Parts: sequence; C-alpha cells; structure tokens
Amino acid sequence: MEKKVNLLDSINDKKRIEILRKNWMSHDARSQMAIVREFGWEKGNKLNKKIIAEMGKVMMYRFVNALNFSNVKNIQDLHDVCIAAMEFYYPPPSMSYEFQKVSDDELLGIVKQCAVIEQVKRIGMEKFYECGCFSMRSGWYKALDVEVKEECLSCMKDGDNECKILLKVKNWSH
Amino acid sequence: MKILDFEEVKEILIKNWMSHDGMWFYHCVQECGIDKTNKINRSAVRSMAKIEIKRLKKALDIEKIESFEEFKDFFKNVFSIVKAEFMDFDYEFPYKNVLIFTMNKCFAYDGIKRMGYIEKYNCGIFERLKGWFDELNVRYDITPQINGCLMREKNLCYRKFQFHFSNE
Repeated sequence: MEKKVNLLDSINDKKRIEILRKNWMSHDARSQMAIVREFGWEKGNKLNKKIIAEMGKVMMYRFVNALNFSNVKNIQDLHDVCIAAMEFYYPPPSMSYEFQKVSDDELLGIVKQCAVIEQVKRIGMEKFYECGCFSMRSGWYKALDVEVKEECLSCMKDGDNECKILLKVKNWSH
Repeated sequence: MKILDFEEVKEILIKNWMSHDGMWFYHCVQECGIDKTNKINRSAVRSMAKIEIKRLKKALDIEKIESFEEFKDFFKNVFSIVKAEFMDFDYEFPYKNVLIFTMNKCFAYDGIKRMGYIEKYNCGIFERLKGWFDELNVRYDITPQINGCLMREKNLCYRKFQFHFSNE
C-alpha cells in the first residue's frame, strides 16, 4: 500500500515563517504600486510613509507585549530592542544590519543590505521611491515611549555602500 | 526577553499583515475615495495571492495540481500555514470537486464597518482565493457571484467553488 505523504513535512517552522513574512511584504508592496499606478509616486510615497508610521507603532507594541519587555531606560535597552525587532521582522539573509553604541544617548544604525532597496532597484524605481524605514521607526519609538531624532548620514538608495542612520535620544521612557 | 514559539510568531506576523492591509484600505479611502480604494484593494490582493501561492507551491514541492485529491491536500496544507487563530472561517469538501468556504465572522467586514465604509465595500477576501486558483491554473465556477459584501447583505458569508479538473 502506498504511504500517503504529508506535504507539510517538507517545510519546517522557519520556512513557514519566512513565507509569511515575504507574503506580508509582497502585499504591502503591491498595495503601494496599485496606488502608484492610479495616482503616481507622490501619493504612493505619501501614503506609504503615513501607513508604515502607524504600522510601526503596532509592530513594536505587539512585539514588546509578546516578549513581556518593559520600558526602554537606557541606550543598551534601546540597542537590544531595536536589534531584536529587526531580527524578528527583517531577519538575515535578505537584510544585514547592526547597531553600534556611540554614546549614552546615541546609536548608529548601519544597514549593509536592504531587501526593499534591492527590489526597488530591480524594477528601476529608485529615483521615485522614498524610503519608509524612517517612518516605521518613528512608530517604534512612539510604542516604546522614547523621543528619538534620526539623522541619515548615508543611503544605499542614493548610491552609498551602506545606510548609516544616527539615532539621538531626546527623552527616555517615563 | 521571552523566547517566542512558532505559533506565537505566526500569530504576530499574520495579525500585523492584516492590520497593515487594513491601514492601506483606510488611508487609501481618505485620499482616493471608496470606489478607487475597492479597485486598488482587490487588485493588490489578487496580485499578492499569485506570488503567495507560487511561494507555497515551491515550498511544498508541488508543480501542478491535476486532481481534486491533490487540490484538497494542497489547500489544507496552505491553510495550516496562512490561517491565524483570530480568523474565524471554515471550509469543507462536501462532495467531489466542490469546496464550500464559510466566513463565520469576517475580520474585513468588522474592520471596514468600524471605519464607516461597509455600505460601499466590495469584498477583497475571496480575491485571495481566486488569485490562488488562477495561479494554480484550476478552473472553477463560483456562487454566489457577488461584488459587494454578502455579510452586509445577508448577515452570513460563504462561497461555493465548483472545480473542473481536466483529467477527471
């Protein structure tokens, strides 16, 4: 008698999660491109940034709640939660990044590989697309109740080898 | 920090995915109106569904779906990956070549009703299934044929898919 094979045996949990992440990102990209087709890049970028700022807040809330993570009190806490959230939502190998402590109030985020920019370049839209990651992190900081000002020092979309973003904390969680 | 297990990670990712989709809908309505938003939403879902099912096919090592039995196996496996706890729907294969998909409670209906646009909402949920079936090259008829929202109109929601497999 032929043994019935369960197709799911061929996919481990890691692969299942990777598929979900990719499909979420594909859906997001297709929503933006559907707007761009109807109304152009200006509206597509404007909406994307507005939405990902709100979404960033939700992403971080759900993440820290699931981890029972309390508030961010110092630069080490901010470093740890940023790295953990990046690894959860944007794990390697499609993304490559690190956060370095610069001072008691500053982190340097370095992105060496960005799947979003690679995709934007693949379709030749880097002149039109505006990065959403600054808006997303603004949502993260709201969820964490820290006031952070970001400064972009270099950007892969503009031809630099890596993105460098300086995060300056203005106010810590209450 | 606590270590999350597979089900917890899956639940967070799917919830975020659906929230993100809902936010696109909400902000698009504010900028572009409900008619354009319905069009954009359905087009984005359909196009995402095609990519989604390609990835699942590849991961499950499936080349073609040629029979109802293969389809049933594949469909069940797909839902064990993409269905989250908060999604309240059922599906059954009551007889050969038929799928009945029932939304007991629809998160899209609930969300769009909260936004205040349910009266003009055109269902995007079944666009996902249609995108899958089109990409799988599976022929089907669907009843009832409806562009709007059955939950709004009848306070219930289902679709019956009658499939036509070439070698059966």
